[in-house]
Amino acid sequence: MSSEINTNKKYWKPQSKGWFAAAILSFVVAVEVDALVPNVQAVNTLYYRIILAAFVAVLLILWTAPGIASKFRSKLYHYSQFITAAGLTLTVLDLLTTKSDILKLPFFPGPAQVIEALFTERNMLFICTVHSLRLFFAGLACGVIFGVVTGVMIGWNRQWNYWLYPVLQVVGVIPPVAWIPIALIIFPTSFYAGIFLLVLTSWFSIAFMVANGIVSTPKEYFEVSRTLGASERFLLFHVAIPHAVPSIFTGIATSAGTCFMMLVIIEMIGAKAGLGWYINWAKAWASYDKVYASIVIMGVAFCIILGVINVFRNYFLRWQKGILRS
Amino acid sequence: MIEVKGVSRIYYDTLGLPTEALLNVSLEILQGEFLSLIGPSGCGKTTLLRLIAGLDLPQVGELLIEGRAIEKPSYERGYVFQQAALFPWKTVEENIAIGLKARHIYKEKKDLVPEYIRLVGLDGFSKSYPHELSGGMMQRVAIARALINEPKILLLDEPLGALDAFTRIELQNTIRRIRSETGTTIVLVTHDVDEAIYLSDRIAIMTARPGRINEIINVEIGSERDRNQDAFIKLRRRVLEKLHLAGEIYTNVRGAGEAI
Repeated sequence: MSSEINTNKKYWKPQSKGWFAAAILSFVVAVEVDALVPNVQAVNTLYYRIILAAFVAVLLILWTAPGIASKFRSKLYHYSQFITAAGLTLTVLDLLTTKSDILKLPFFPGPAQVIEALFTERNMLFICTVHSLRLFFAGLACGVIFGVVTGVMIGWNRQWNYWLYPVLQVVGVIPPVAWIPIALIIFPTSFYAGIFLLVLTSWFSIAFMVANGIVSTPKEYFEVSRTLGASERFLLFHVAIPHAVPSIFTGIATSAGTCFMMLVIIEMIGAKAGLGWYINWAKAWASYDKVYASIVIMGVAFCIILGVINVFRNYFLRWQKGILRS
Repeated sequence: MIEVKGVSRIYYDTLGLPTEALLNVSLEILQGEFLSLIGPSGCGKTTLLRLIAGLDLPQVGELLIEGRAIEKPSYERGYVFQQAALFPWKTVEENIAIGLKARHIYKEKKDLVPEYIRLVGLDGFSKSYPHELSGGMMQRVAIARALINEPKILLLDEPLGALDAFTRIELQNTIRRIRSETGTTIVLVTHDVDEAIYLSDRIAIMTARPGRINEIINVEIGSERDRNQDAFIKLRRRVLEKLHLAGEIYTNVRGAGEAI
C-alpha cells in the first residue's frame, strides 16, 4: 500500500498498488454478484461471467507478473480507479436489471444480456462490421484523396482557386445528409451511393484545411528556398505541402468523426447491410439487447480507427514539438 | 564584383503613402571582401540586401553581378535570415541538404553535408529536429544551409540579432573562421557596431528617410582584432559619431553594441 511521490505528468493518478487491488476486487464482486444472486429476468449469464472472470484473470496476471515494464505499470496504476468504477457500475447495472427487473425489458437489457447478444449474434455482427468498415474506409480514402488534391490546387494556384473555391464554399455548407435521396437514385448500389455520400462528407473539410495549410506557409520558407536554387515545383512539393501535413491530419481526424456518423445514417436509411442497418433490423424485432450490442461494437471500432489515424499522424508529424517525447 | 548603381526602392503602406526605403544608392562590393551595412531601423539596409539577393527588384537603377543584371534569386547568392527559417519538418542534415536537392545534385554531392555540419560545429546533431536546437544552433544550420551551395556571395540579414551576447560572440568567431576557410564574399546587415568592426573590411553607414549610404569606412586595424585595442575603440567612436549616437554612448562605451 505504498504510495510513492508521483512525478509522472501523463499518468498522474496515485501510483499505488492499493487502487489496483481495488480494481481487481470490484470485478471479483461483479462475478460473485452474478454467480450468487438469483436471476429474475430470463437471461443466460454464462458469457457475461466468462468475460468478467477472464478480465479478473488478466488483472491478476498483471498483478503478479514480474517482467512488466515500469512504464506500463504506471499506466496500469493510473487507470486503476477507473477500472474500479467500471466494475462497480457493471455490478449495479446487473443488480438493477437481470437480478431484480427494476429497469424493464426490452428497453434496458442488463450487461449480461448485451454480452449474450454479442455472442449469439457474433456471425451476423461480424459480417455487418466488415460491411460498415469497408464502406467507411473506401469512402474516407476517396474523400482524403480528392480533398488533398483539390486543397493543394486551391491553395497553390490562383486559377484553380478562382474556379473551385466558390464551389467549395457553397457545396461544403450543404449537410451531406441532404444528398441521400439523390444518391440512392443515381447510384446502382447502396454501396456506391454510400461512398459518394462519405466523399461529400469528408472532401470539403479536408480540402479547406489543406488549402489553409498551403496558404499559411511562411513567406520566409519560400524566399530561403529560392535563394537555395529551388524551382516552383520544389517549392510546392518540399515546402508548401509538407507545411500543410499537420492540417491534412486535422482534416482527416475531424472528417473521420463526421464520416462515421454519416455512415450509420446511410446504413439506417438506405443500406441492406452494416451496423446501422442491423440496429434498424433489431429494433423492428424489439431486440434492444442487439441494438446495444451493435452500439458497443461501434464504440470499440471507432476508437480503434482513431487510434490507427493517430499512429500515422505521430509518424508523419514526429518533427513536431512534444509529440515524439511525452 | 557586385555593382549597385543609383538604386531606389519605394514601398507603399496600406494607405498608399510612399516610403523611400532606398534613394539613389550606389555601392561596389569587391570579390572576397566582408562588407557590413549598418544604420538605424528603417534605413533600408535589409531592403538593399534583398535587392542584392534578387528577392526584390528596384524601381530605379540597376544591380549588376559580374556585369549581369540581378533579376531573381540564385543559389550563387546565399541568404541567411534573422529568424533562421529552418524547415521544422526536416532534420539538421536534411535542412542543410536542401540546396543540393533543389539543384538535383544531391546524389553526387551528399558527402558535402557532414562536411558543412562540421564547418559550423554541429557534429552529433545531424539527426536533430529544429525544435530541439537553441537559437544559436539554428543560425549555424541556416549558415551551413546557405554555404553548401558554395555561393559567390553570402548575404547575412542580422543573423545574430536575436541571440544572447555570449552566443553572438561565439558565432561571430565562427563566421570569421568560415570566411577564412571559404573566402566567400560576405555582406552583413547589422545594428551592432562592435560586430561590424570585428568582422568587416568595410562598413557602409546608412541613414533613414530616405534610406541612403552616408559614408563607407575602411576598417584598417589588421586581421587580429581585439574589442579592447585602441584602434578598435577609436574606430567604434568614429562609427558612432557618424550614426549621431556618440554623445549618448560615451558614458557606457562597452554597452554600445546593445544600446543602439
